[in-house]
Amino acid sequence: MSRYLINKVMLMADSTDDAIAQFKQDAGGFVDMVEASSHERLSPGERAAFEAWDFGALYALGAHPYILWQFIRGVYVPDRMSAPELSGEFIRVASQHGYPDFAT
Amino acid sequence: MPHTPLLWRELQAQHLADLAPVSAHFADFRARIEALRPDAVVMVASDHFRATSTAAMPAFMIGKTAVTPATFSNEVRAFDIPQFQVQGDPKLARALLGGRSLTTEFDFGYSDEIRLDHAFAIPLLYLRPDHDLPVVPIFTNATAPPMPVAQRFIELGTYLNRAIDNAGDGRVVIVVSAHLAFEIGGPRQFSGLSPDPEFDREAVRWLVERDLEGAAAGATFDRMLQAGNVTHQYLNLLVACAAAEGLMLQVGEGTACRHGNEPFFAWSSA
Repeated sequence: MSRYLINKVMLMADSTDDAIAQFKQDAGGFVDMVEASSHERLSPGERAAFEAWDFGALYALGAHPYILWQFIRGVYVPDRMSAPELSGEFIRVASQHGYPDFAT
Repeated sequence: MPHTPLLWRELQAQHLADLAPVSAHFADFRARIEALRPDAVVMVASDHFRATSTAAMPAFMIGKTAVTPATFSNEVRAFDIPQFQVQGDPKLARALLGGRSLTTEFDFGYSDEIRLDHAFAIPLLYLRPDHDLPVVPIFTNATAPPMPVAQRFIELGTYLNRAIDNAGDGRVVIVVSAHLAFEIGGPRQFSGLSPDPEFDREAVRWLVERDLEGAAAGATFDRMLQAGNVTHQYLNLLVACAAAEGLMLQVGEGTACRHGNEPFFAWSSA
């Protein structure tokens, strides 16, 4: 498990418009690229969460909440959902997990 | 002062009645700073993983850049915050660090190339829209645990009070950027209300009554997390309160709006 690497993937994806587009086009390839810059590796579950754009799983895994919200906002809005729609869905999902430890 | 980035876009719109008091406070604080005729700003804020990350996370870091840009392209995308730059004050920054050896009181990190995120940019845009004052940014880690405890933020304020006086380099105003109870990326985000009004009442009281012992004991990591998952930036207000020793409280409240209670506190000699 690597909360640090989870956060790094999200930060790199959200860093520029090009990076967000790259993640949206090929999430697995984007994770590969970030892993290549690190000595750590994501677990299969962590990788699957990114490939599925599963923000509930990332939240439960201890992704940093601020980084997570900015990341999914970049990924989902406006193509998949509006910001209010995404927030509503995020609140619904996050409520199922309480407040996971997000310390790295 | 608050730095909720959504305020920037929202305050461009008209007829947002709940934000009128926030807008009035920004205008009032701008006038207060103008009246003080400062030569420089020392600004305390917490970066949101834009300029810093846990690859190397300083507890307290001073920017001693000659010019400092703000903000980041993803903050332009998300919040429409304009990019700009401010002059630094390397001489004052070096004095705060302690010279060639760090002050014995703080093991500051420092940076010669840093960019300011919205935590710095939002207050600066409202307080000094012409960006005509040098700014020494002090980055505090109030976002990524483990982070310094409340007592260290109080000690930072006490230190800045004395170190700025000792620097003797003109009139300096300290601006801090902070939250009261606040949540982003959690189940209580964007509720339209403070996630923890009880914390806000106590947190405001600590500042208004200058109860720094109470704040040091009460503003624990877990209590602030309970109040909202980014509430820890409240700690920056303790820097201001401690630095304001001997000054009079002029403004002290959490201003209710759609983002909860936004902190507006000001101390000055008159």
